[in-house]
Amino acid sequence: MSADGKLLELQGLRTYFYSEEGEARAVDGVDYTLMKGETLGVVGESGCGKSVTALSVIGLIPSPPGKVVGGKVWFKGRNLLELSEKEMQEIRGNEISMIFQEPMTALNPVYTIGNQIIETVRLHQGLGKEEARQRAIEMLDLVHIPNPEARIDEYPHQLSGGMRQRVMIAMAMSCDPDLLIADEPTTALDVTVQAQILELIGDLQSRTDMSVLLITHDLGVIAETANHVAVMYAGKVVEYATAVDLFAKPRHPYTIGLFRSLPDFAAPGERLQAIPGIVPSAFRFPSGCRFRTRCPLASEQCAREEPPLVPVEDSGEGHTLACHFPEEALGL
Amino acid sequence: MWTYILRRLLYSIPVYLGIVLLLMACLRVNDPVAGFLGKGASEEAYQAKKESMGLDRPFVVQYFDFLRQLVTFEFIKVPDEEVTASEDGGAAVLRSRGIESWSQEGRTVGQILRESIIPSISITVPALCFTLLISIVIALLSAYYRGRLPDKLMMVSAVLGMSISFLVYIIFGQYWAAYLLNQKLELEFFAVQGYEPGAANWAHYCLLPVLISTIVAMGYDTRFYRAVMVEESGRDYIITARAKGSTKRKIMFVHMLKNAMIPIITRVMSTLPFLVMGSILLEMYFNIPGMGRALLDSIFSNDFPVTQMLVAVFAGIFLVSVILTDVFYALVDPRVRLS
Repeated sequence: MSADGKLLELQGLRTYFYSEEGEARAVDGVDYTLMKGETLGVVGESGCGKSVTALSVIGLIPSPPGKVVGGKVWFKGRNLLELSEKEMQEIRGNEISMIFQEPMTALNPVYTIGNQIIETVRLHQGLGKEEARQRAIEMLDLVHIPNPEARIDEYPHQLSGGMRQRVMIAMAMSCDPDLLIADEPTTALDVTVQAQILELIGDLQSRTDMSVLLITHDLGVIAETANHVAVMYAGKVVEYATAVDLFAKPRHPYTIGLFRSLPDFAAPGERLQAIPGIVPSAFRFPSGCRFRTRCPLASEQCAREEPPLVPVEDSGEGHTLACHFPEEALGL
Repeated sequence: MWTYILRRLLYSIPVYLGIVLLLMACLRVNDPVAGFLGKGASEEAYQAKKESMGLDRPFVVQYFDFLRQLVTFEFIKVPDEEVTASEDGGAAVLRSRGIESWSQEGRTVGQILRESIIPSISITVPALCFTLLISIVIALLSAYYRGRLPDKLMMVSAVLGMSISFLVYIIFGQYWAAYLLNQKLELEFFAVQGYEPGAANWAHYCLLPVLISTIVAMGYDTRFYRAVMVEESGRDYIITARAKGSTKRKIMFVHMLKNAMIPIITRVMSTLPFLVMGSILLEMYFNIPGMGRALLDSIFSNDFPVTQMLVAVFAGIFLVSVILTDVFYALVDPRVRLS
């Protein structure tokens, strides 16, 4: 653990996919930091590279066609990109775990849930069969699965979606990870169940001092859970701030657009505003600022130079922004 | 589980009755006795033959009599089993001795079945085991190295292997592996053709056909299994398994293989009836007296009782294997509930 409380720091991470169409720059220079014990929310539209970033961190980019081509992923003082596959296997599920969007398919259908949790525990903690089973029951109890002694021998198809996501969380938590990557953990669930799952993650986090990297496209979820927020667009972070600062004073035209498109943030009686256009293809990003094709403030400068991610002067600490017109954006 | 099996068996009874009805009707479209005896046969001989098989009786009576023969397993009886049933002679004695073949004097259907099933199975079963084992391993390796050189090499050879005709393998196998090897090296390892019973003779007579059959089937199977594996390797639970730190080998053999077994079992089970029936081509070319040849011979020689009984037996085996497939499904896939 580095002394400054940083658990995870991404520096210029680049992950490209190669296909016959060419090179898709899915993640193209991503920087963000996750402090120990905190939650970092990563928001952005589908295809902006938020999931690919997370998969790059845990080393699960399918290769071929994908490849991490540059940057550094600092985790507890080590650059994860330099570790061997074997070293990564020891970290995965143990120090870094991950839960996914689709609890319906993320569990192996032909093994009992107990079996799958026990596998994780035995992989990393070297427990005996009986101890591992006890641990699995504890974990199921921890995620509030009723009657865990009986449920442990059930198969995934016997559980509801919310229950399965709880099982996924139990599995992810079974080795007390330092970092939990949650990739859209509530997207596939009912709204009431969503709240329960978020509450559960928050509750577990406060008990264990674990950090959470929460990937979502739902700003409401971010508002409820995140300490810091990274807004991603077209493979880059365009704005990074504390949740408080971001919600109080979003500065990037894209972030502002995201808020405008939500009913919660629009003035009463006002129409919701969609961001015009679509996310550019990762094969052909526009020159300069990648958002300029959809941006109301776009100028010639935006097409010429790509705005760097720099601190915003008149905002809270650590608020960074990649826009040539930080002042003008305030007037939007 | 057992109630499920029992229920499935009960359900298949009407199906089987229908099959038998159809079979008997089809075989009677052209008069089987006239076909066997030919045009020059006398009226007396014709009538005698007809009566000996009970073909002069009404169809319904014949139908139930045939079912009786199936249910009481009379079809596997052989003549040297002593007659104890009845003293009043005639038909009763004849029937309790089993069903006599027309073309092979003095032999019964039971004898033909018993004698031909061993040669058939001693080729088909080892061939299935070899094929299954080798092609699953190749498919796993191929899926593991997907898109890379080993995968491409294996798939090219699989396509090559399956593109060559069965007959080419048989002819070249017989010529090179059996004939030339015997000539040049004076090695009597493979027989060019023929069959003798006994385990000691197995390699000599059966290994070559088994190998040929394996090579031919491997191309298709490897490609199918690889497709299954590749599909499974793209599933979400594989990423979950990787995310929890499983090793690649464990993911393949523990997580993927059990899921892949579901389609694999379907394919293997669908070949089960043909295990008993044997490979007609191989049996013809290697002169092996198996079931496939027995059936073919009976058809060519108008041996009505043998044809009728063999087809009925195969149909039964087919039905049983369908039920077995479902039972195996339930064993592998917990989502299938047999209740």
